[in-house]
Formats: sequence, C-alpha cells, structure tokens
Amino acid sequence: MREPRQITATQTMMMITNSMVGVAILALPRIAVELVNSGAILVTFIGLLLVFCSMVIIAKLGVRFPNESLIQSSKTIIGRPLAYLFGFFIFLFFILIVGFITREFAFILSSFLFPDTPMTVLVGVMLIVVAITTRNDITTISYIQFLYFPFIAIPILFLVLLSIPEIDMRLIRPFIGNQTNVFDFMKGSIMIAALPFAHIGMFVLTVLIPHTKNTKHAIRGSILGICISSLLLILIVFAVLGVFGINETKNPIWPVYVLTRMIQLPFELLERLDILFLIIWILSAFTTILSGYLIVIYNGSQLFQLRSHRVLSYIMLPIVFMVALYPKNVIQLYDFIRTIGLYGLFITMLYPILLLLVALIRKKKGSTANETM
Amino acid sequence: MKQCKPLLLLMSVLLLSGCWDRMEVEERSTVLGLAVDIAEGEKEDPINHPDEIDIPTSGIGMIEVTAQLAVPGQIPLGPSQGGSQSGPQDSVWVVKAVGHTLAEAVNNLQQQLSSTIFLGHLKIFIISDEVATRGIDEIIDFMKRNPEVRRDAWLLVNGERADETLKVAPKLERIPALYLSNMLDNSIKMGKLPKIRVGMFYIALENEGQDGYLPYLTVKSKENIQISGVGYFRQNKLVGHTQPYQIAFLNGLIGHNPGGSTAVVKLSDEQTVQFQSTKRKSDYKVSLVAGKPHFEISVDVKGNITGKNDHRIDLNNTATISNIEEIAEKAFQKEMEKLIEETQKKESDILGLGEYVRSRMRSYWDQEVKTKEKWREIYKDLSVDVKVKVKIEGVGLKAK
Repeated sequence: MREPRQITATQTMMMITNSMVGVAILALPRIAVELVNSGAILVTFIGLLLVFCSMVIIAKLGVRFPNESLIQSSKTIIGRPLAYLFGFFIFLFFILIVGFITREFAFILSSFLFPDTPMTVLVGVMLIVVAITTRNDITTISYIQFLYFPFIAIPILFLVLLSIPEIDMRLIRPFIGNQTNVFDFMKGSIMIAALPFAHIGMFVLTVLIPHTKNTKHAIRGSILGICISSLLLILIVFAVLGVFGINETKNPIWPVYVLTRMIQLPFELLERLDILFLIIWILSAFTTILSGYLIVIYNGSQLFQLRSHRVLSYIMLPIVFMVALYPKNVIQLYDFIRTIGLYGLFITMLYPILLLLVALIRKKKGSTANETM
Repeated sequence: MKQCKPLLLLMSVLLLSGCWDRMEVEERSTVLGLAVDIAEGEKEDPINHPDEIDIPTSGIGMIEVTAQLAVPGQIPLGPSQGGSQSGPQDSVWVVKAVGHTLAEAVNNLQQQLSSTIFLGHLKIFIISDEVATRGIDEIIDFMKRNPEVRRDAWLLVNGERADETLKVAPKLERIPALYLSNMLDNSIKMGKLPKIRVGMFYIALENEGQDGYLPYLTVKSKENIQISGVGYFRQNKLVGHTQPYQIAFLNGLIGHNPGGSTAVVKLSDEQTVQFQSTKRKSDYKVSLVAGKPHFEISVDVKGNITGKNDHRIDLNNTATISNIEEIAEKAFQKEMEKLIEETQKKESDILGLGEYVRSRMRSYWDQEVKTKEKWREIYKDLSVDVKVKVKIEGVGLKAK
C-alpha cells in the first residue's frame, strides 16, 4: 500500500529537530565536558557536524532512490542477502536504542517526579502511548511532530535566555579546553555522535524520504532540521557550561535539570521552574521515542515484507518493553547506551556511506516516476 | 454494549485510581532549617546498625543534626492574623539526632518522626565553625545527592554552635528559618551580601581556580542574628572569616550589583563622612610578568554621601567632593588589597583569579599550573594591583 506523499520540508525539519532534542539532552553537557573540559561547546559542534555529514549522505542516498525505503534500495545496491543482514542489524539496533532511551526517560521521571511509581508502569505507559500513535500513517505522525515542535524549541531558547544572567564567561573559555589534544576531541565528538538521539535523528530521515513531496523537500528539511537542532543543543551546552563550569557539570547525572532548578524568572512570578521544564522535556522525550519506535516498526515491516508499518505497532511493544526493563540501574543503563551507541555508528554512519559508494560505482538508481506531484 | 463492559472496567481501573505518588501535606515533615554540629559525648541509638560494630566516622566525627520542622496548620498564609500572639515555639518544632555521618543522622531523625522527612523546602543549612574547619565534603555530598535539596537554599557557617541559630526567635516572622532566609535574600537585594546561595558555592568549590565562601553568622544576645562576614574555604575546609565591613570590599571586587554597602571615610583626624555605594563595576586584567601571572583589578564604585560627622565639611563644593573621592579611593584600595592579602595567606582564592588564568592563559595553565593545589601555591605569592575609582553622585537632599 502506498501512502500519499505529502510531507513538506517544514515537517521534515520539525520531525528531525524533535527527534534530535530528546531524552539525552539532560545529560548531554556532562558527556560533552567529560573528555575535553571547557572545549565542550566545540566538541558538541564537531560531533553534530559528523551527524550533519551522515545526514547529508542519507539524504543523497534518498535522492537516488526517491520512492524506496533504505532496505528496498539496499537490495538493488548490494544484493538481497547482504541487504537483509544489514536490515536486520538496523532493526535490532533500534529496538535496543528505543528500549534504553525509554528506560532512561522512566528513570529520570522516577527520580524527580514519581519516586513510588513502579518502573514498569512508567515505561509501559510511554510505550503504549507511542505504539498507539504509530498506528497512524507517516504523514499524520509528521503532523503530530509538527504540533509539538514549538513546545520543544521555544522553552529551550527560554531556558538559555533565563540562564544568561548567571553565566560567567570565565568558565566557558578556553574553547579548546585545558590539557586537551586532538584525540580527545575526536573521541569526544564520536561520543556525542553516538548518543541515541543522533542515531534516531539521522535514521528518521530514511523513513521520511519515501513520503516527502519530492526529494528537494527532503534535502532542505533535513539540513534545516539538523541545523536548528544543533543550534538548540549547542546553546544548552553553552548555558550549562557557562553557569556551572567544568567540574560542576561533571557532577550531576543530569546537569540540565539542575540548571532548571538554578534559574529564576526576573520577576518573582514562579519560584520553581524545574517542573515546567520537566513537562516540556516529557514532550521532547515522547517525540524522540516516537521517532525511534517508528524507525523500528518501519524497518521491521520492510524486512518482513509487511503491508504497512502499522502491523508491527503492537507486536513490537513487548519486545521493546523487555529491552527497556533489562538494565539493572542507571549506571549500567548508561554503559549499555554508550557501548551500543558506538557500535551503532557502523550502522547509521558507515553503512549509508558504503551504500552510496557502491551505488555510485555500480551506477544504480531508483525509478523516479511518481516523484513529482 | 456487552463488548464495551470489559473495556469500561479496564478504563475505570486505569483512570480512576488517581495518582500513584500522592502525598498529603500532613504526611510530610517539612524541614525548613537544618543545623549540623559535632556531637560531644552523646551516644547514638542502634537504629541503622548494631551497637557492637565500630562504624568509622567521616573527618567531621560524630554528627549532631538539629532540624526545624514546620508544624502543619500553624503557618499563617499571608501577613495578616495580627491579633494572634503565638510565637515561633508553636509554629515550628525542633528535633535532634546523632549519627556517624550526616545521612545516618538524618535517618535517625526520621526514626523519631511519624511522617516522612521532606527537604524540598529546606531554606537554611547551618554548620558550625568547627564542622566547617574539619571539612564539608560529606555535607556537600549529602546535599547534592538528595534530589529534594534545592540550590537556592542557604549554606551558612555559624560562629559557635549551629543549633543556637535555629533556636533564635525573632519577632518579625513566626518561622525562624524563614526569617533568616529572608534576611539573607534581602541582604543580596540591598547589596550587602554577594550572591552565594548554595548553588553558587558548589560551583566555586568545584572550579579549578576558585575557592568558596559562605556567609558567617553570629547570634546576638540569643535572639537576633547578624551577618558577621564571610567564611572562606581552602578546598573543603574553612580557613578563616572576614570582618563584617570587609563584605563591602568583597562586593566591590566581584562587582556585585546593586550596591548598598556603606563605609565610613575618614577625611582627617576629626572628620568623617558616610559613603554608600549604588553601583559597582570590576574589571580584571591578567598578564604574564616575568613568567608569573600579574593581576590588575580595576573597581569602579558609584555612590552617595549619606552623612557627615562635622558641620564644617562643606559638601556643596566640587573641591571637597573630589577630595573625598580621592581619600575614599585610597582607603578602599588599601582595604581591598588587605582582603586579598588575607586570603592569599590562607591560600583561599575566593575571587576566582585562577579561573581567569585558566580561561585566558591556556598555555600557562597547561604548562605551569594544571591542578588546584599548584594554583594555590601560585596564588599565595600572586602580585595583584587594585585600582579603585570612586564617583560620588549625590549628597542627599541637603544642600550643605
């Protein structure tokens, strides 16, 4: 069944931004300062530049095969068995990623808002809501993301704006960090690019491309999306580093949440803003998990040659649920996310490059009929 | 309709059950103030561990924790209720517990209370001078680890026993802890105290080239509290405290606004005027002189004359005003340099000069300094020049 091609550049942009600004945003500054101390802003920039490059490659691949999903086009490029093998890896990888970020989400919620609610309920409720949402077609999902975009982007800008009076410029410099070398930056930027939201942000494009109005929309939307989301993420790192400095950013597990507890409105209307930002963050977590879940079921449906991604909406639910509940505690969870995220780079960054190269060499191209509408 | 029934049942189970984490106000013991002292000779009840095991303590030793709890229903909403004469004794409750560590002492405290301790409204955290001198790592760890403790709480050092502060019963407010936190908040607004809520203190404590400082309190005649300077730290240990008047100069050095501190400027042996700052600005320049960092701090202070002791001083005269400015500049410069020297002696870089070096002179920091300890050694003999510019903008309503 072909779905209508209706998604515009704006929707693509918003969907990518929403996916990139996700659960991990609360921990991002801590991960950024870990290796390069005050070079955190630069390392985030480089990491997101890597994401940008691989996003462009995925978009290029999409332009060559405008009507096909990644698995379909990879069949023509590298042959059926290899395509299925890699497709299966993608499927598996995103199951793990979605499970783990859902757990991360539930863990943060339980430490700040719901200390007594069992983890199973927090994870389950989120996944059920996500699964129900993915019963819609992809155009509708992109409209849902469209709806949430302002609620995610504006509060982040607001947060940065409110923290400006607290920022101490001493703490931001030097931009290249103290006692750092190039390897630290390489390692650090790869760690940023290996964060779950980067994988999801990149790969949600493969789902979107066959449904955008035409490839121009897809390219424009993806580049805008990665630029806007990078800007938001870099601003967040800037604000946290500027307020806390290097060592204090390393200290809390979720420094951005601590930032929301530090800032105050210039007039004394509300004393505590952290709950407001936590609500906004739940929205951003929802959109990211939604995109991730969509990638899982979309790829799964292509892999098993199902009629539509909807078939898998509920079938995948228990599997992702079990993955989410597997880690014992938050420390183990972050270990898993880091390891799996790093291996995931082979799938989300190197595999598309490989596909594009082989496609260029073998001069494979998808049919362009049906594209202009 | 028949098919709907199980669905309806399920929906009502899911939707009508309410909130999982519901917690009534009455079920909470809201702690407004905590005081930490060293327990002397008091024995702990075996609550967290059997008595026979010899549990090691942290560097502080046995800890006595005193909590000021709000009694629900006794705290009036709003300032009215003029007639009622109930004092702080009725609206708060003070309880004590002893433990090997702070976390344990708080747990022992819980043992004495019917409801769950809630630290979300903790405003005041007082530690005694002695505890601070022995090291505050454990206290900071407790405060940061507990998700309820907020960063806009106040961590304070008390000159003598910390629990004395919680017993003080001021007349203006029914909750002593709230009175104290309001007093400190207002001091910031009046420019008499730098912004050093516990969140800022954590940051100063953690920074590579910076040390923290906290308000230093003393209890006056058992019923009032005075801010008697700031206590400054070397790493995690309190090493000294300033005189109250020195806070004004510290404020000048860090450029805290709005101004508001007053200083008496001695013009001659007989004549003095009272100067009150309104605006301060400070600028730090660091350069390498003979292989060592050299600081030039320029401080701009704007302010008014609020009083004089001698009718012969003619304030309606430009020459007098500029004379006062000149004398004030010299006096302030001397005091600011004295303050820096005192902290240098104790190796406590409260101005965060090391952070300027770290951020502006990367190669010097990477080659010569690298660690906090090394920075403190350098800070000890650092050359610092202070230049003060005083501008008197007004003399009040009186013409002469």
